[in-house]
Amino acid sequence: MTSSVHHHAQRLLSASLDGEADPDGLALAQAHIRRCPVCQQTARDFERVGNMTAVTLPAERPAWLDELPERLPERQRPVVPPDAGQGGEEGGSGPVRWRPSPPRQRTHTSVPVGLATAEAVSGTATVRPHRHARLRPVAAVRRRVPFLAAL
Amino acid sequence: MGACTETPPEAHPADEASLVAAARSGQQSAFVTLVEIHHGGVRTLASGLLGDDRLAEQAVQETFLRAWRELPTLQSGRSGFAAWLYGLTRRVATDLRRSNRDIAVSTVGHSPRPRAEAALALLEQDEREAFLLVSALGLSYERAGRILGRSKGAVAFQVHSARLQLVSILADPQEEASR
Repeated sequence: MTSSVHHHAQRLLSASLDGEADPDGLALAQAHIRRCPVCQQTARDFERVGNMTAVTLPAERPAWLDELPERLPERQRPVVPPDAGQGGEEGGSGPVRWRPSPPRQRTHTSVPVGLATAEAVSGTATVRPHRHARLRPVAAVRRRVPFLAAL
Repeated sequence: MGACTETPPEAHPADEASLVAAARSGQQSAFVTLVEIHHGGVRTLASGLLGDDRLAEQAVQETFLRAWRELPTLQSGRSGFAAWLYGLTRRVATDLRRSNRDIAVSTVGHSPRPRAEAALALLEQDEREAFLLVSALGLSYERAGRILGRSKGAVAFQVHSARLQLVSILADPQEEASR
């Protein structure tokens, strides 16, 4: 069997793990892998690597989030230039009077906080997030190589 | 490994769109909710890209501050908030890596990081980015390609290449011996 056949089957296998393989291609790959020990081993390797590199999204609320509103720079309200002839009073309901923007101040400090969340991603992970999960606990989601168990 | 101990807030896409709209108009509470929803994904990506916990945490905070400033420039419905945020994370991580090159180099190989994380650090930058977005964060090739400025095919190739390299880097010595 030529190496290009293995290569093609393995690319399809990879795509299927990412949820991107088309059914026809996957069926062909499946037929090849059923009788190819080399590709069967690759499928097992892919599954092992997938489980080793899987991560659990840190779900804890980071400590710095409490201070975030104070650190967010004030958004500038829409302004009208001075020649627009609509000079609203300060604090009134009219358009904001134009004035030169103050130099932007960098409010971010590089204090390492919330390192508890680091533990959540630095351990040996055994679960992985679902493609459409939005920070949902992902304990049950584990990507499996399709049809591998049947081999 | 820190397990998920509490259920984080979830946002239905429609809810998220309204949160993004509110945050764009300057509502801080809406933005904080968006941060609660997305900080896990941003943290995972930053951690994988930088390979250093302290820098990753710095990148997360910088990303959200930058997001707040740049949110008015986000075109609604074009790529989605999460994809936009991941693109921002990638840019912040690149800047941080550039300015902390010495620190990053000195930590690789010295901290007791798990094998998988160390293996990811050995990948080429392009492949690591593609692998993290697709395999860790579950994005499609197309969405990852949009974030990375690459074609769908290029992302597919890079993820596959990363996977093959990880297989050889993370090879189980006992299993290897028994083959």
